[in-house]
Amino acid sequence: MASLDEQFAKAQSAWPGVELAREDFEAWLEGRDAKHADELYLACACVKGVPRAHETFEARYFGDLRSLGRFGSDAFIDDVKQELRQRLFFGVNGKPKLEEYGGKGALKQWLAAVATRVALNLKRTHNDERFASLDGDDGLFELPLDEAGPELGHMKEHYRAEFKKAFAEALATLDVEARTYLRQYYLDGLGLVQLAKLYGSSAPTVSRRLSAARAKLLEATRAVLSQRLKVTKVELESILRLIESRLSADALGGR
Amino acid sequence: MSACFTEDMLLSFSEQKLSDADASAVSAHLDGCSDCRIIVSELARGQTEAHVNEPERPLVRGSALGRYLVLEQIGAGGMGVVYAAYDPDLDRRVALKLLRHAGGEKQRARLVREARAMARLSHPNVAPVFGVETLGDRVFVVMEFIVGENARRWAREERTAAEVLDVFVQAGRGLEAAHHAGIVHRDFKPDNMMVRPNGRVSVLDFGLARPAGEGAPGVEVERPASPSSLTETGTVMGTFAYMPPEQRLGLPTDARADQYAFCVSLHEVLYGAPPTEAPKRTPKVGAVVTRVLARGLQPDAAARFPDMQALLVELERARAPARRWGWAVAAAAALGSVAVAGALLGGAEPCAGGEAEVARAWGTEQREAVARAFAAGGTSPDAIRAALDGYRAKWVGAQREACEATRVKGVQSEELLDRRMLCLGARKAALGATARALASGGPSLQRAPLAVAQLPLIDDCADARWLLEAVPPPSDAATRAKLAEVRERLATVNALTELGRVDEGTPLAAAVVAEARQLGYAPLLAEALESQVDLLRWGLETTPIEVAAWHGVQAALQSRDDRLQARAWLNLGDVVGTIMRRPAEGHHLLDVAKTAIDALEAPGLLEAGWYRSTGKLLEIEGDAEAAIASFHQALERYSSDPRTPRGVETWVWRRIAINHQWARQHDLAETAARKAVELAEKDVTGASQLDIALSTLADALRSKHDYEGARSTLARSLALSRKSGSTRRVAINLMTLGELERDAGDLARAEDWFLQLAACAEQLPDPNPYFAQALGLLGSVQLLRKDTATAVRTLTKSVSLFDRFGLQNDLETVPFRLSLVEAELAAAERALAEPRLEHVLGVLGAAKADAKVLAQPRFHAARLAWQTGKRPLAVQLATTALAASAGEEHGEISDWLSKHAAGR
Repeated sequence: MASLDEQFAKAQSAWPGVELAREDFEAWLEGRDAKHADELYLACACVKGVPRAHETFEARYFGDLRSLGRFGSDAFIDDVKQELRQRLFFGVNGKPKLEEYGGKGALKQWLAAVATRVALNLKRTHNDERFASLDGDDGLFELPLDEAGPELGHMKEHYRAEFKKAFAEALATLDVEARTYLRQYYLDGLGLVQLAKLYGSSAPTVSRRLSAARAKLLEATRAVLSQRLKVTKVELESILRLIESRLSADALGGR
Repeated sequence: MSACFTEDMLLSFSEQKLSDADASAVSAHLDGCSDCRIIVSELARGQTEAHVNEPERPLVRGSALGRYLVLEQIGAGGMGVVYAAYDPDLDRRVALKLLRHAGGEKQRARLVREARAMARLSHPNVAPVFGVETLGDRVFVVMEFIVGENARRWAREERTAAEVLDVFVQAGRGLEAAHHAGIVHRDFKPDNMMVRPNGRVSVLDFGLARPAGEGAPGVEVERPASPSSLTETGTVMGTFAYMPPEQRLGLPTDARADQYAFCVSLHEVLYGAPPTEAPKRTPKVGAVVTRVLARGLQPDAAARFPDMQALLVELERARAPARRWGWAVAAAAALGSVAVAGALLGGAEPCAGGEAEVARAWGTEQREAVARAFAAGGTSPDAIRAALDGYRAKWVGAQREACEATRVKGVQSEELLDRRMLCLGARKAALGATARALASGGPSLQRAPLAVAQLPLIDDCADARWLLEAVPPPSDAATRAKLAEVRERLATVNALTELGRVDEGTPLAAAVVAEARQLGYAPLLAEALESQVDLLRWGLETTPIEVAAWHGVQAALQSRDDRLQARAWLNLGDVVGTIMRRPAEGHHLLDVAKTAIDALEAPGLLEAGWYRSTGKLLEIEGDAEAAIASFHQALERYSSDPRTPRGVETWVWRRIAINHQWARQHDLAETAARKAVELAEKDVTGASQLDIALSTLADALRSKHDYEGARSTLARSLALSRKSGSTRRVAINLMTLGELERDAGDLARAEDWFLQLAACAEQLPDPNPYFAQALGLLGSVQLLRKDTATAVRTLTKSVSLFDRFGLQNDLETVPFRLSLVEAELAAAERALAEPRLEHVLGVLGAAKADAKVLAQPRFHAARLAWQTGKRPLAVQLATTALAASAGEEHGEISDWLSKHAAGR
């Protein structure tokens, strides 16, 4: 591990023009992970209001927020940035958010997490409809069935309430991880490789677990529904098959 | 819901840095909190999609870049900053070129690709690139730290014309080698030629000089006041004074741009001034040099030399009288080895053993044996002999090149030499095994050209990165000997597979897999399993294929060989989707395969294979149009690749024809089928596919009611398939004949053909879906002939056979099931008919509504549903069918609907 002097010198040269006092830096590292000392230096400088710190931070990190494009337009991202400035540097009740950055990972990634949360909150206050599909498990249930032809569309409309309830009950029977897998895969659009990386597992394992979770979900929905609904067996099978095909094909993305 | 976790916690969770207890607490929270879950998902995405928008910060002495320690900045250019650095692992000094952010994932990927291509290129006159590494979203190229001076500085001293020419010929050789590898320099200039103290010249900075945002090489340049003021700094993307007109204008450029830059540089060093200025020196050069310069400096690229080699041949002539002995001695001195000097001056060559070695695999003896086998079969061996001779010659060249790179030129490590030799050894084994299999003759000789075309590529053995990334081969001699032996046997398996000799190959493949597993060398095991899957595909049992394919993926993952991995995933996706008939899961696996293929630098035919497999899956799912699109994607890649195995394109065109036909696009079906026939006819070995292609064409003609055309095409096809002795092919023709007569209205003849078909198909080994299909067709005609009792019997047998093979829900069996329902209703067997109809309706409900393939079955089902009193459902089905139908079918359905919909 580099000495404090070295860390300080390195951090200073990493952010030319941002002059943080050495004792502030030292105090800041206390209780934080010095692996990201350079980034902590900048975070501290921002919180302390060191000249040019905010500009440097924005110049370096705000460009990455383009990745939020999946949540909204450029104008929306501008709103997110505005909100972030306030929260990161000044805080909502006088406690700048950047204080929370403990150097557990790259600042860029940490900021991505904060920005995502801000974006979600903004969406919620804007009452955005597209967002609703991301929010709850309605999204999982609402995977489009419309193309499936008139007869099934009709059935879905007709039995909508029962169906949703059955689906929710079925989902509750899965274990926590299986549910999260399904949601991250189908709702958040993570790929197999990304999921595998996230859970320190391999793509085939993730693939098998997803299939198992999906099968279990359908099985449980079937069980609940057949108790409750008086549709014929053929109709029920058709509906379930349809969901199955949507779950396995469309939500896979790319098709 | 518990309170949300801090971003720090979520970040640690996504990087798996939490304790188990904390991680499960987060996990539990994610279940109830969509915000936190979405954040984690975003983080997971961010780790795989790097964003490149960082402003540059110079690195100071002592900072770490990956495992390297930065020593000092030694240059900066348009594409980035160059540092001298120390590599502690290998205890050597290296040069690191930190690339400027390349604007986006695509550009960055291209830079990485090019740098990797450079890393594979091993040539004495190209500065070695050790590798390309990424650190976060930064990319840097690791290069040899060359001690020496660039040609501009070198030329400050008085140099004779001969010396200058010698330096430039060397540099030109470097360019030539890069061009061969598909790399264009685009910023060649004296500053990029390093002259080492021993006189060897190395060219630097290949292919990196492109503006960040563009695919086209750059116009984003600063014009220097004079060439000598060109320093290492500035943001020059390719240097204006050396650029040919096409590059200055931002037009597409190719290797001939380098010729121009080369000649500007040569002119400048010889005359002390660029061609546009008055010469400062008058060197003694002959007319040849003047001519070379004049041609290389032509503004029109087409007027320059065709390639660097042609230019160098001319330049060599200018240099020839002055060279003589001096060259060999200087080269030997440069290499610093007396032994090498001896070798060059006429002693024994250290790398000449390849010829003798490969002759044991394919030499006089084998040539004669193969000729005898062909003579026995009554065909000429010439084409095969020429192909194998070509392979052998290529092998000898590659072996010599690999050996010399280490033993003579000293530019390649012993380790890499070792791996290249192992790679070549495997190819020699493949050559020997193919020769032996051919020599043993038999009817499989028909497939000989196919087998030869499938021999592993020799060029792969020059792919340093690929070779070095794989798990290292075992080092003890005994294991290596065993490895070579198993490889030899694996090569035999492959040769037998390609020749279609499944019965001999199958037990051998199982043995080879077991041996490879015992050796514990993953790459070999992965290859062995791949071969086993190929073999098992010929057989009838399906489960073992899937098992082998899964094992193949496991072994490939262990092998760390990214090509093997991509192939293994593709194989698995194809097996699961098309053989196991689980298309949804197949798509899933092909998704993974696509990721793996996209990560390859040279995916070769794998992309084509991916589209082919995807097409097959879509076809099984009844999505004819998407299948056709995917098949076309495959064809696009096959047709541009000389390595495409014979017959593949014919196969793909045939599938396109069949899918068009299912989609009721009869004209397109005919065109595609004709294309398949044309390709099959062109293929000299194509007797094997021509009959099937013809029967596809006949089928297309039948659908267009061109019964005469169909009959004559089928006559030719049937004759061919009878000659081939393949029951399966005869069956396909009989089937098409029966369908033809049925459609033409001659039901008696149709029944007769189908009876013949059933008799023929019954001979095929169990489980035998062909027989079930034959019975289905026969029964359907019997139903049309109002022979209800017989039809019920025949169709019941057909359907129960399908069920026995696990095809209860297969769309292709739907028409037969519906025929049976119709027959049972006609025979007043309502109790049997109704549940059966329910089942079929379920299968149809699960299928895509817009599948044109299903319009007819849906309409059929609608009429039967009406008959059994399910009137609203019948109308709905017919409505769905109507939307997906076309032509006369459309008319028929809409007539039916107008009669029935009103009165429901």
